[in-house]
Formats: sequence, C-alpha cells, structure tokens
Amino acid sequence: MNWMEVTWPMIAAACLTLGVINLGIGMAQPPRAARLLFFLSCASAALFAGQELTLMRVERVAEVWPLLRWMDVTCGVIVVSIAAFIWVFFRTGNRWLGLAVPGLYAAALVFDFLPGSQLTYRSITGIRTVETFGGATYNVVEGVPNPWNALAYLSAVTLLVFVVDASVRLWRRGEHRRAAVVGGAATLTTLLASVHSALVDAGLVRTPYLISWAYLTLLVAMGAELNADVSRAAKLAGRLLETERQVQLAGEAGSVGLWTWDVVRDEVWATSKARSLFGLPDSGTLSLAHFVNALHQDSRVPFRDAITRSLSGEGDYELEFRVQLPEGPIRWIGARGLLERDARGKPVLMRGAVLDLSARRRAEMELQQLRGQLAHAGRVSMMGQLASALAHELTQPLGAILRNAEAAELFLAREPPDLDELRAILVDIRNDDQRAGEVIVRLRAMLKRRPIDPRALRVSELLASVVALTRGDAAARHITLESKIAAGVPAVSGDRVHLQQVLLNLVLNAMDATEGAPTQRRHVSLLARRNGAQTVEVAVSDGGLGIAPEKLGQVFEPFFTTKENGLGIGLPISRTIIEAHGGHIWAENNSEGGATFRFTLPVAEEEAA
Amino acid sequence: MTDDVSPVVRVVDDDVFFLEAVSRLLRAAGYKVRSFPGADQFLRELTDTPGCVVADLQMPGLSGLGLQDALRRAEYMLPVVFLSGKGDIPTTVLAMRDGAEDFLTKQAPKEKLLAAVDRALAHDHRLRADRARLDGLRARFRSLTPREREVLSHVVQGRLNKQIAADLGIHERTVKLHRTAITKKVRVQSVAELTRLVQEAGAFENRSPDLP
Repeated sequence: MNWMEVTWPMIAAACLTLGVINLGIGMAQPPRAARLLFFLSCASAALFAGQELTLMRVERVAEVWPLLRWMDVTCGVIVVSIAAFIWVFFRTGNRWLGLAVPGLYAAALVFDFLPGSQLTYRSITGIRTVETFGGATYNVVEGVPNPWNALAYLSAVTLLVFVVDASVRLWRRGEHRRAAVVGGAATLTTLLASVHSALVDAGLVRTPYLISWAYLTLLVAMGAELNADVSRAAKLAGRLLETERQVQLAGEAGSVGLWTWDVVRDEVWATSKARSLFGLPDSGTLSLAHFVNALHQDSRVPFRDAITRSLSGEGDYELEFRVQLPEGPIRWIGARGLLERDARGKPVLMRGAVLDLSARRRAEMELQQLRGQLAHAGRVSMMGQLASALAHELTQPLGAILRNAEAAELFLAREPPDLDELRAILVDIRNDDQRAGEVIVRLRAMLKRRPIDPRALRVSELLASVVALTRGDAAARHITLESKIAAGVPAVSGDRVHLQQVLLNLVLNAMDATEGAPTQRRHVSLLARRNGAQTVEVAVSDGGLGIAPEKLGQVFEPFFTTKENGLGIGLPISRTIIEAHGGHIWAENNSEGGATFRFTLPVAEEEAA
Repeated sequence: MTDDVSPVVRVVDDDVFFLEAVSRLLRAAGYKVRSFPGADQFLRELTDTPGCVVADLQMPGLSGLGLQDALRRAEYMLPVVFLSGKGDIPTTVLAMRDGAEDFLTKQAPKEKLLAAVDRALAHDHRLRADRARLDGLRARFRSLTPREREVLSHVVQGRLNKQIAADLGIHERTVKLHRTAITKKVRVQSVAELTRLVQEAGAFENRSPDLP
C-alpha cells in the first residue's frame, strides 16, 4: 500500500464526513435545501475520489471506457450540485448562467452514451504506468481527445462565471465573509479542477485526476463556515439561557407568570410562577387541559371562549378568571395572550403572561363593601338629620296649637266663657298652623335646592354606579343584585346625582322589601330598555311581598311608609326628581310576586335626532 | 310665713307663640303665670317668690340645662319642669340627674303638664316649709348669748355639768342656769332633742354664717 492508496480514501472520508454533518443539520432545521445540496456534492466528490483511485489502478483498456463514462456522470453531479448549492445558499445568482451549467453538461454527457463513443477520448491508445515520489506508481490513460469534451469544460467555465457573479452579488449585499470564503473557495475549486483536468485530458500533464483534491478547498471553506455557525449558535444559546433567567427573574419580581402554548402539539411551557398561580406542579409536561381544569368552574367557559376567539381570528386576548386552588381559596388571575401564526396563517404558538390579581380584587371588594356601607350610613344619617330637623321645627307650632286648644277648653268651661281669650286663641292657632305649613314648604325647598342640570347620560353608567354603591350591602344581606340593559338603549337626558339618588333609593327600598323573604326570592334586578322613540324606561324589581293593592296609589305620598323607621320621604322625593326630568314614576306588583318600580326618562337630544 | 304668697309658674321658651300658648293654658288652669322669652331674662328678674319653672330644653343662648345650672348656684333652687321638642335620651338623663323636677315632650297632654306643674309646686312648697322651719330654728340658736353657746357646745358633746364648770372656770350652778336658759330659748325638753336640733340647724358647722 502506498501513500496514494491512503490519501484518496482520506479525502473521500473527509468529504463524506462533512457531507453527513450537513445532511444532519439540514434534516433538523432550515435552510434545508442548501445543506442537502452540499451533502449531494460532498457525496459525489467522495465517490469521485474513489473513481480517481480506481482509474489509477486500471490495467486493461476495456475497463477504462465504462469507468470514464461514470466518472463524467459523477463530475457532472458535482458541477451541477455546486451550482445549485451556491444558488440556494447565497440566495442570489444569474438564473440563465445557473441553468446553462446543467444544460451544457447534459449535452456533453450525450457523447458518453452514444454507441461507440466516449466524451474524453475518441480512442484510447494505451495505459502507461508512471512512478512518482515515495516509490508509488499509478496508471494513466493515453488516447485521442474528443473535441466534444469542450462542452463539459464550457459547463465548468459557466459554473465559474456563475459562482463569481453570485459571490459579487452576495458581497454587495453586505455578506462579505460568506461571499469571500464560500464564493472564493467554490471559485478556486472549479478553477483548479477544470484547468488540471483539461491538462490531463489533453495529455499535457501525466497525473491522476485531482478533482477531489480541488474539492477539498470548498470542503475547508464550508467547514470554517460550519464552525462559525456552531460558535454563533453556542453564543446564542448562552444568551438565550441568560434571557430566560432574566425573564424568570422579571416574572417573579412582578409576580407575573409566563407561559407558551404550542398549539399544534398542545404542550405548555410555563415558568414556575405561572405553574404555582394555577396550583400546578413545578415540573412535568403540561397541556392546556391542565390549566383549564385548574380554573374555577364558572371561569372555564369564558376561558375556553377567549382561547377559541383568539385562535379563530381575534388573535390577542385579555381576560380575568378565577382559579380554584385545591386547598380551598379562590385566586383571581389576569391573563393576556398573544397568538403567533405561521406563514400560512395557521395558529402555531400562543404566548402569555398571567398575574395574580387576588389582592387587588380583595381590596376592590372591600372598598366596594365599605362604599356601600358608607352610602347606607350616609343615607341613614341624612334621613336622621332630616327627621330631627323636621321634628324640631314642627313641634313648636304643633305644641302651641295643642296648648291653645287645651286652654280654649278650659276657658270654654268657665261660666261665662271667656270669649276674648277664645278669640285670641283662635288667632294664635291659625298663626301656628301657618307656621307649620311654612316649615314644610321650607323643607321641600331645601330638598329641591340643588337645581337639576340635565346632561346626556349613559344608562349603563348610571346603573353601574348605583350597583357599585349597593353591591356590598346586597352581598352582606345575601341579596342577588343584577343589572341588565336591553340592546339599543340610548343615552338619556338627566342629572347624574339626582338620578343616582332616585335609583339608590329604589334599590335600597327593593332590598328592604326582600328582607325576611326566603333565599330564592332575595333578588333585586335593574332593567333598562327603550320605551318608544323618545323614552327610556328603568325598572327596579324585587322578589319581596309586593305592595298591598289598595296602597299602590299612596306609596308616592309624603310620609307614607310601611317601614318601622321609615320617614316616607324617599319616594316623594324620587317622584319630584323624575317629574322634574319630564318623566313618570309608578309602582306595580309583579305577577310572580314582589313589586316593580318603573320610571321613564327622556332620550338625550343628540341621540333622538 | 310664706303661705300667704301665692306661687308663680315661670314659663321660659324662646318661641313666643309656644310661650304664650303654654302660659295661657296654665293661666286658664288657674295658676299665676309669668312668661320669659329667654333664660337670660328669667335669671335677670329672678325673685324668691314661690313657684316653679317650666322651661324649653332647647333654646338658643342659655339652654334649659344652662338655666338649671344657674338656678342651682343661686341661693334657692326653684323646681324645673322641662319641655322638649324631641326626647333625646342623653339630655334627659343629664337634666334629671341634675335635679329637674320633670321632663315632658311639648306634645304631652295637658293633664300630664298640669300634674307635673302641681308636683313641682308641691315640691317647692315643701322645700320652702322646710326652709322656714330651719330658719326659725337657726333664729332660736342665734338668740343664745355667747356664753350660753359655749356651754351648749359642751352639752352636745355629752359632758357633765361639773366638767363644763371646770373647763370654763365657772361655778357648777352657773352652768345649770345657762342650761335652763338654753332649753327655754331653743324650746326643747331633753338633751337628746337639743342635740338633734343642733345637728339639723348645723349650729356648729363652720360654714354656717350664723354662728361663730
């Protein structure tokens, strides 16, 4: 065995190794085509190295023709695959030059397969053994060159031009390193291989073909390229790890859990914070179902709906839901998700962040409760002050009338009656009566003191503000409070504060009415709907005992009350306010029990127009 | 000595109509009435005439409770019947604790009001009778000579005539004479009765202006 028999297989092995590595990379991730083409050219070069070695050992002329024929094919594959590789790898190049390479080579190969013809030699004159350094020997073929072989070299020259052109284009695009290294190596490989082969073919140089040697240039360049890729990937991987740690840290600092859902495989990656928010174990693979199952049952449907909406077109979503933890407490979670689609618009990934809102929620609920209590206390105290003022103002004239009447009885009982005193008494009684009347008038004026300032008001906001004020109270008294607004309810014209007072009064009355009723009847509902072109009707219904039919007409009269501590002024004030708005207010009993108070308000002008 | 002066009901209320109505009722019921439209006027014209006060609890300026306070600091306290527009409990308690005779709402029926006034007048009468008796008693003690008072102070301490004579440096018979004079002037039969009256009159208390 001489050095030549070692070297050529080594070249083949090197070609194959790098080729297989590229094949492996190409199978795993894009860009696939470039890697596969490079593998093809590597494999062909390896094959060609073997064929070169075989040719060096050929002894009979009869064996030469078929060998040369197949060497031409292998060489053609190398040439074409290099052209294709450059085209795909550089993503640029002259299309016509590129297409001319395989075209010309195919034309040349025709001469290899015509009967009695071979591309390299028209005829073979002999085989000569040459001795080289190291005492090694090899055989070379001697014969008459085939002029059509020029077609194959034309193809090689075209490849050369194509590669140079593509390299220049890539350089201009700014990818200097790749243009210089890969483009330069491909150019050199083509140049060396073509020139040397041409000399061998012409019989001017008596050496074996060295195409596989020339190919080493490209191999080294691609090896360097791969090396750069690998080190870049390693750097990226390091940076990725760092980023992931930072994300984890940021997430934990902000109590934010992060997750990514692979829609296709239904696999969820989640930070430990996200897992703990849902009460899920710290490790192990997760699917979306794990998360859905962790939700409180009331939140499952909205959650699924949000995911479905997001997948089916809306893309991003924002949602609040509750998680039922196994130990018992309910956790409020705010979630925000972004959907990623592939090139064809198919949903691929959903990323999102989840945040624990429980503390905020609790604070909100406490605030609401407090607000409700305040409103209640405020109302009670207002009524109390009003009652006190009313009582004090009225006791004077009423007491005076009583005393005068009593005195009158005594004077009448005298014999003879003291008529002068009686006259004076009657005058005073009249005065006192007038005084009492003035007190009432003053009180009414005081209640109406704030002028009504009508503005365009959103009914939903009005209802929501009153619901917010009474929700805490309702919850504390185990009363279900619901508010509904029919479709197409326009804005109304009204004074927010006054209307809030009316609604608050009606809702609190309704809640009082359900007091003592069984649980399923402890509900108060608000409903707003359009009633004709110019009117919106708001109804407050309760599930209480209703109003005795003979008293339905009296409820709006001043000082009419059914409550032990009631003053009987809430509804009269409400009526005054609603009528000042140009609306009506009335009460009715529900067929299914309980009472409903309804009032109408005019539609705001800009809405009606 | 005070029985011959008929009692006067003083009505105090800032509301002149109510004042007039109440005064009129009380007059019709046969009382002697004086009306005052405020606590200040009432206190300015305060006399020792027997009777009682019917006052509004809530008045601007000096309120009912302030009036009661001022009365208590005066030499003699007239019983007060309060009338109130509203029966608020803390004020009521305060008034009653400070010795208000009665407490009525303004709408209380006539019978209740008249009964309260009668009770207040009776209370005043009783107080005045007690005071008259006490005044008489004190006058009797005042009629004693300094020496007799000296002997009396020893007697009420239960000392024997001989001891008293020795303490004062006088003859025992002189002591006996003083004692006879004392029982005559104070109009008592026994030492026990004498001791009781001395206590009642506060004859030997420092704050009494009548005795040294």
